[in-house]
Amino acid sequence: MSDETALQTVGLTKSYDGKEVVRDLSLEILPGDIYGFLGPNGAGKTTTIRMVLGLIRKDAGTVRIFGSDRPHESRRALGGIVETPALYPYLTGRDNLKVLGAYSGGVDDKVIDKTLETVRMTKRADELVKTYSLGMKQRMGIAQALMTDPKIMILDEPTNGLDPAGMREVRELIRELNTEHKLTVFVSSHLLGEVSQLCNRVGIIQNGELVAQGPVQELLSPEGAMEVKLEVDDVETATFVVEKLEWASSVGQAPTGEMLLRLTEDRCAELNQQLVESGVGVRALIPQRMTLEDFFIEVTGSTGEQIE
Amino acid sequence: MSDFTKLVQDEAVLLGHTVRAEWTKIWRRGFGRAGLVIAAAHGVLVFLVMFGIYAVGRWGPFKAQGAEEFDIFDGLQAGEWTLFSLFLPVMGIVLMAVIGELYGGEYAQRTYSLLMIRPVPRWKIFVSKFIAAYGYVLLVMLVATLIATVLGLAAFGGSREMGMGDPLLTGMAEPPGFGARLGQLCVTFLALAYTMLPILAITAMMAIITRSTALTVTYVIILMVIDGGVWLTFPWVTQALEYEIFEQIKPYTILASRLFWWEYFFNMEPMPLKELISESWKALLLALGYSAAAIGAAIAVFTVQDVE
Repeated sequence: MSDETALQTVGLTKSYDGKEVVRDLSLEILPGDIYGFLGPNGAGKTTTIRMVLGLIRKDAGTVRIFGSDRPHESRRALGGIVETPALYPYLTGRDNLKVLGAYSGGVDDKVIDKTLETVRMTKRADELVKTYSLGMKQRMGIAQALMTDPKIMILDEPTNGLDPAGMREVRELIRELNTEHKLTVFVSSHLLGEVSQLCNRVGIIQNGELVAQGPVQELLSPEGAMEVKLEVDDVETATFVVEKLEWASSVGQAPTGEMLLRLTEDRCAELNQQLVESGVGVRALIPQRMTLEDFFIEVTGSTGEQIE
Repeated sequence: MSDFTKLVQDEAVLLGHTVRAEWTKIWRRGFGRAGLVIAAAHGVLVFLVMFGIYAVGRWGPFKAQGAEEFDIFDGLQAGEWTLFSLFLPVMGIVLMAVIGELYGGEYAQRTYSLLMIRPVPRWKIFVSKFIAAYGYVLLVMLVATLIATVLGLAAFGGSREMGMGDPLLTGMAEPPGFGARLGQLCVTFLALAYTMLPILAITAMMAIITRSTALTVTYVIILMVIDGGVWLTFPWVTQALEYEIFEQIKPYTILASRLFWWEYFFNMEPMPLKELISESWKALLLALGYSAAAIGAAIAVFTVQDVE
C-alpha cells in the first residue's frame, strides 16, 4: 500500500510534558484525494500536521511522502500552511513570495504572477501584507505553499476565522487545486459541514488517536446500504411486496408513521416500480442518508457540542 | 562539468538567493535605513568630539604654548577613532538588537514555519541569515568610518608627523605618511570586522535559545560586561587578593582579541614585527574560535528544536 500512497504516517507519536497528544497515528492519503482530517479542537490535528511538515520532532513513527521517508528529499513534494498563515507583514504579498521562493532555489517572476493569479491576489499583490484581510492572508498562505510546485498540499484549518464568503472562496480554491492543478490535498478542520462538502476521504482523530478512516461514502453507508423512508397508501400490500424482495428489508416504522426500509441507493427506483406494479400508490420515497456529523458522533461518542 | 562542481555551483546559487532574501528582510523591516542613519550620526559624533578637542587645544582658554602647531589629528584618525573608541559600546548594542531581531523576531512573528517547510535544511537558513547579518554589520561599520574620515580629512587634512606607521603593512620600514596611515585604518577596520564576528555569533545563538530580542540583547550585554570585567575589574581583585587566575584568563577573553590591537596602535614603542604577526594571528584565531563555538551551538539547537 505504501507505494500507492501520496502521504502516509505510520505509528506517529508525540508527547508534551509526558502527555501523549498524538498516539500511534497511521494515516493514508491517496494520490488525488481531498482528505479531510477531522477532530474536535485539541484532538491533535495541528500537532500531526506539524510533525508531517517537519516543524516539530516526532517521538516515534514515520512519515512517508510517495514512499520516501527522507525528509529533505520528500519536502519538495509538500506545500502547506499551519493555522493562520504568518507572512512577513512588512513585505508586500509579491515580496513575501519572492523571499520564500528564494528558499526553494529561487522562483521566476512569471511563476509568482501565475501563483498570484491562481489564488486571485494579483490586484493586491503589491500592497503590504499587514493591510490584508484574514481571507487574503489565507489565500497568500496557499500561494506561498504553491511556490515549491508541490504534489501534496497540507492545509491546517484553512477557513478558520473567515466569514461565509471567505470560507466559500477558500473551498473553491481547494477544489481548483485538486482538479485543475492535480494536487493531493490534506485539509484539517473541525467544521464537519466544510469537510463533507470538500473531501472524498476522511480520517477522524480523537484524543490523539485515529478512530475512523476511509472514503466518505463508505463510512456513511457501509456496503452501500442506507435507510429509506417510504410513504404509501396501502401499508399492508407494501409490506407484503417488501418481504418478497431479497435486497430490501423492513427495519420498522418512522415516528411519523412511514415505513423504514434498508436497501442500497441504486435499488430505490426498482423498489418504486415493484410497488406501483403491485398497485401500491407511492406518495414519497425518501433516502435517509447518514451525515458526517451523525457518523462523527457515532464514532467519537461526542455530543456534538465539541464540534461545529 | 563534474558532479562536484555542479553541486558547488548549485549550492552557491541557492546561497545567493537565500542571503538576498534575508537582506531584503533587513532593509524592508527598516533596519537598513535605521542602521545607516545611526552609523552616519556616529561618524559625525566622533568627528565632533575630535574637533572639539582640536578647537579647545588651538583656540580655547587653555591654549597650550605654540598652539598654532596643535595638529595632533589627521583625517584618517577620525575613522580610526570611530572604529576603536565608540563603535563597540554604541553601535554594538544597535547591531545586537538588529541581529537578535533577525533571528529571534521570526519566532515571535511565527514566520519560521514558512521557512522550515521549504526544501532546505535548517542549517542553511541559519547560515543565510548569518551572512546577511554580517554583511549588514560591515556596511554599517564602513558608513560610520567613511563619514568620520571624510569629515576628518576636510577639517584636519592628511597625515601628520605624529601619526603612526603601520608595521603590519610597511614592516616599519616606511616613515609615517598618508599611505602608512591609510594602511593602519584598513587594519583597524579588519580588526574590528573580525572582532564583531564572535559578538554576532553569540547574539545569534542567544536569539535562538531565548527566542526573544530583548532577552538576547540583555544576555549578550551581560556576557560582554563579564568578558570585559576580566580586564577592568578583576585586575583589582587580582591585586587585592593576590589571586592570579584572572591574569591567566585575560588572554582568552573576547575582548583580548580586540585589546591586542588597541595596545598595538597606541604603544609608542611598537612591538617587533615577528611578535606582532604572531600576536595578531592569536587574536584572529581567538575571535574565530569563539565564533565557531557559538555558531556550532546555535546550529545544533536550531536544527533540532521544535519551531512552535
